[in-house]
Amino acid sequence: MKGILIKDVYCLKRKLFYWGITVFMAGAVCLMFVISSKHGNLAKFFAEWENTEDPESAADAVFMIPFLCKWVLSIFLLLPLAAAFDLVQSVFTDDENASFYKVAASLPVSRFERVGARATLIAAALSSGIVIDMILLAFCVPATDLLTYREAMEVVMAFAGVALLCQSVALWFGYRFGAQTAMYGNLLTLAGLAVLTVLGNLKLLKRTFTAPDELKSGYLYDLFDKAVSFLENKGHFVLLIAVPVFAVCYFAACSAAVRKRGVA
Amino acid sequence: MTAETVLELKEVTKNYGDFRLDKVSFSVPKGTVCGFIGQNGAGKTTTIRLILDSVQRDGGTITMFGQEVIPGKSDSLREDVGVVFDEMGFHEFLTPKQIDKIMKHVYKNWNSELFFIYLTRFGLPSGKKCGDYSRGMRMKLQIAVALSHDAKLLIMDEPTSGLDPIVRNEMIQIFREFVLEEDHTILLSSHITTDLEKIADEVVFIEGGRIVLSGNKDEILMKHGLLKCKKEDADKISDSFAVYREIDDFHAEILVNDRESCSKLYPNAVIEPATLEEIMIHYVNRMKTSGREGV
Repeated sequence: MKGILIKDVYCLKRKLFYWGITVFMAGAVCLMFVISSKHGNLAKFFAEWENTEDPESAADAVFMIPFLCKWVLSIFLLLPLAAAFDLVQSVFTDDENASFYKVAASLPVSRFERVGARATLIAAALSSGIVIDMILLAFCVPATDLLTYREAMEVVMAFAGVALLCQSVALWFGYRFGAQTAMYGNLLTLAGLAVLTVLGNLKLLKRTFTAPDELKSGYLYDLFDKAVSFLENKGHFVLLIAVPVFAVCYFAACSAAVRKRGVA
Repeated sequence: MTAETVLELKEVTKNYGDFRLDKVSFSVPKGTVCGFIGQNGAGKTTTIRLILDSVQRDGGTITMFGQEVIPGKSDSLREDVGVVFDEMGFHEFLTPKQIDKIMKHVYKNWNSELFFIYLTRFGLPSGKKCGDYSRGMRMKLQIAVALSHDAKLLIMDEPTSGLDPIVRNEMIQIFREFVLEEDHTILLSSHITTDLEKIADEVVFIEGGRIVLSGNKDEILMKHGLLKCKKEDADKISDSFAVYREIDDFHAEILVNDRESCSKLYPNAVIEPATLEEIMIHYVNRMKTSGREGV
């Protein structure tokens, strides 16, 4: 397995520069954003909006502006993690383009080891993405009141969980149905998560969409608030669910690789 | 299986629906070069994949180095096998130096020193990316990898196809050197029969997923012959000798499977030696017209 992992590292090495740039840019933008929101133009803009004579705009400013800023910041913070998973996907694509499966099948490496190398790569991408996000947050959080460390980490873990779920299903799909179908694994996972979210909130959704117009915006806000509250407080549950799913998909991929040979 | 057999297939079957490898049986004696001949799509690559256990077989047994290849459980047997494919499976951005570092952790017997000796001998720059190599260089790189881990068996799938005659000749020379050591064996799949005539000791001929002819190359060449006669005399040749009759408006060319007996029986007939290519073409034509299995 070590040899296969070294090959993966060589594949990654070519793209590490771009990943480094992504991490650096995301970090720089986050820092600029938090500094500006506290001391720069963004801070001035917030102050102007909060001091407006229109009471409705002032109320919006108090609730919505920090909220929006927090989420803009969160999205920037998630970029290194997203780029890490993209790197993993690029290794699999490189293998496919080179027809490496032919060489892999001729090596004295078991299918468990070959699938294991891929799973290790996914786990490494996940871990490195989370660690980099933790470092970025360590710089950003003290410089802003927009978000707390815990809230941000919950969001990071929720995103890492979704990414891990996608990669897990894609890993199994790749071995079960062929390397080209891995992308459908990703799409299917996202669709499945969307369906689960809808089913889990069916009552609330029904109430919102059947409510009279005057109540609708309030209910919509409740729905939105519930989603945000889940991400900020219980995001780690997504990752906790994703880890056993990853394990199950690894064994399913191993089983598929043994039955359907010829996959890298 | 005799003690001197490195590879043996017994009634190996694989069904793809539109193609079936039908009870393939042959063996490769130790220290020989076995030419695996067949036209494109005959089942050569499928057979090699089955030997390497990279596809699941539906039936039959495969024995390598005296041990049965158990599906999914015989990965360690590949320690002693070097494989060369028709296309290089390494990433184009990898350099031979990097491939050395990878293989060092794959093969227990990987010999870096030997690998770099082969690279120098084959004129392959070790710091250059594989993608910048010519087709011939890519094939040589695969051979260098296959020869650098003390492999006892080389399995090659169309290694010389698409190469110019000079490079092909160089490669044949390399294979010859490999089999100089008595425990080294080669299974060489190719549809370029002239290469096999130069180097093969044994020949296995596959067509339509079935083995139609196998045995010692020299014996096969000695036994088969091309009987040339007038069109009206073609039917006089016994069916037991005639593998296939190719008849035009005036003449007939018949591949016979026992040249010596045939010349005794038909002393006036002109029987010329047949090449492996001619033998292959006549057997294929026979299968196409009659669907019969070969000898």
